Amino acid sequence: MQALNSIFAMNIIVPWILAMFLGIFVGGIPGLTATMAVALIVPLTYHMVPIAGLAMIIGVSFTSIFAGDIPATFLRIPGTPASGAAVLDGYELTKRGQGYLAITLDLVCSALGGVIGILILIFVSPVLAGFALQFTHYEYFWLGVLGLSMSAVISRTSKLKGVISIALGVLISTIGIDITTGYPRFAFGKPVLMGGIGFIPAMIGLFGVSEVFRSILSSTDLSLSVITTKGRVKFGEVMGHVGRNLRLIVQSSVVGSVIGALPGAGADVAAWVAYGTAKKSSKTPEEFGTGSIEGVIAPTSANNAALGGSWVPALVFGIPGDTITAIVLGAMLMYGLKPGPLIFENERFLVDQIFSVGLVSQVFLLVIGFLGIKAYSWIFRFPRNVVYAGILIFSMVGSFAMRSSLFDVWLVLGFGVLGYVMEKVEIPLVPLILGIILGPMIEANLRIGLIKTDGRFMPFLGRPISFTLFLILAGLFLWEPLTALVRMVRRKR
Amino acid sequence: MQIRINREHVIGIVCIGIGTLVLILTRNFPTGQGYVKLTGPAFFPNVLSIILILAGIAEVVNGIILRTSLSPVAVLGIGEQLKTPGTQTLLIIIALMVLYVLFMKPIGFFPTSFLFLFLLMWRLKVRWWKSALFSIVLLGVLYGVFVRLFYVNLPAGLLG
Repeated sequence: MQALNSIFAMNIIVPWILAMFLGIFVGGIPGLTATMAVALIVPLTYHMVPIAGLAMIIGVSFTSIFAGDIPATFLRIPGTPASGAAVLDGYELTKRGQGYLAITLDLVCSALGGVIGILILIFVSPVLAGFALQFTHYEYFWLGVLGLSMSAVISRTSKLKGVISIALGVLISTIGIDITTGYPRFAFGKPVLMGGIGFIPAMIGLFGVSEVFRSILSSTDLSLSVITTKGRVKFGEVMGHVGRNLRLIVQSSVVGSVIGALPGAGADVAAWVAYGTAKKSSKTPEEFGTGSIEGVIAPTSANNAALGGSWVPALVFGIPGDTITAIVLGAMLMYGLKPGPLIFENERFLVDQIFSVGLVSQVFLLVIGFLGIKAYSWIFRFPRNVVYAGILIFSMVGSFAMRSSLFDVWLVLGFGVLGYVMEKVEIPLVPLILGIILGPMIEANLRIGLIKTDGRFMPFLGRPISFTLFLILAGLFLWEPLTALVRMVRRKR
Repeated sequence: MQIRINREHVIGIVCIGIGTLVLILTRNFPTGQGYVKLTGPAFFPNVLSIILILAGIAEVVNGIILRTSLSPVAVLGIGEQLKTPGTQTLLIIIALMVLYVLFMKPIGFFPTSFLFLFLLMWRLKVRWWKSALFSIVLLGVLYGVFVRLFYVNLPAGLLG
């Protein structure tokens, strides 16, 4: 209760609400993702108390994920990848003149999904943290490798490209002073490189600048006032749909939370899986894709619930559940916090504050989201290229503001170009950023483990939990080729 | 004769190149005795560079096997690609960003930011007066957020 009261302090609530407005703005612009919104927020949180920064990040992530559904519903263009599934039925309802019903229902279900996701986080993470206390360097090494591998395995392109992206990311993380021996690696005598490659400029470049580059090249004119503000919707009608579909909301939110908790899988995957699950369990599956209310409810409940779920591995193990929590981990380290099971003992009050912020954000989401729906009729008249120019300069000035370092601005530009090229040749970006974040943790645990064992690797497989983690890792890479082999053998017979 | 290579070849060769470069650079890193060798500063980057080289070789092989199903990149035709309006716009934006970072300190944050925003929007086909107006508005927002709210010292340059 004390934690709940504390989050209403002015130095927390004002930036938190402003960040939620920013999330609505960024999430609703097609091509700009929730990850990008979070990436833009982080430099601003540098000078704040940790919970104010985390509240901004949590708030902006929930509003931007919801806001992605606004252009998805009205224009058939997903605002963020997590809104891909929202175009199916939301837009069909818009075509029938029920766009406002669809988006308002979407908003209410987003908030409910968010609440369920946070509740799962509250009840599951302390239990898992107790279990994680048994982990040693061996388990943390495998857990880090597993977290990285998941991001490669689930990437939409080939696993090989995912592995390349991981290796590049982890290699980048080795630049700077080696914390075990104090030797400067790949610094070439330059003091700016001794401190290593900053995670924040890398992330802003990869997810912010590169996306702007891509959007500018593939730009179609979206500065059209397609939405009319004349739409009206009866609140009772929305709540009637919510009441009749409570089971579906809970089901989709649980699906979303579980998928969100898997390292590497985020709100976008959660939304599609929840849509598929809802269709399978529906009494009227034939209506999906033609303007089904269930088709609106399922993905939007799941994508917001996935955000809560993705915090489970981040808080408990220090392994990000998705790109947003990858940034959260970097931000927490920046605030001097150490995510992991001990955070539940050492920073219990902060953890309770995070849970409280997550729940209260859903109430704010309802109000700010509703204003956002109205505001978009105005925002869509803005030339999109002005928005891009604004994002580019905010990316550069934001990264400069962190350490007053022009080198960080060069990094933003360099990673922006790298991110653009990588996407062009279909090398996924997420494993690279995860590599930069998890690289130091993996290296430290591997090297400390090797020192403990006099350089022998076998003890890394000698404990039940570490061996289980290794088996899961092997299964991740071998499952597909093995099943393909079995299928080929069967076909030949 | 036009040399035709595909995307996978390029990725593979770049990976092998980076991996080899890392192996060469880590040769000068200090090493210890016995098992300490394993845990020295070169150990982890070397493991990664070997993974990168192996992945690069696999990618090159992939390119050879899948050659027919992938769209080839004509190396000698790269000049034509650079001539497309989209690529030219992108290159100009990158050049503007480079100039912005280079001149931010000597000229000052506000004049360079105004010029950067104005030229960028103008290039992106926003009308000149709108470009100027939005540039001023954005500068106001940047000033409010970074200077007034977070007390960040932005380079004053000529105005300092």
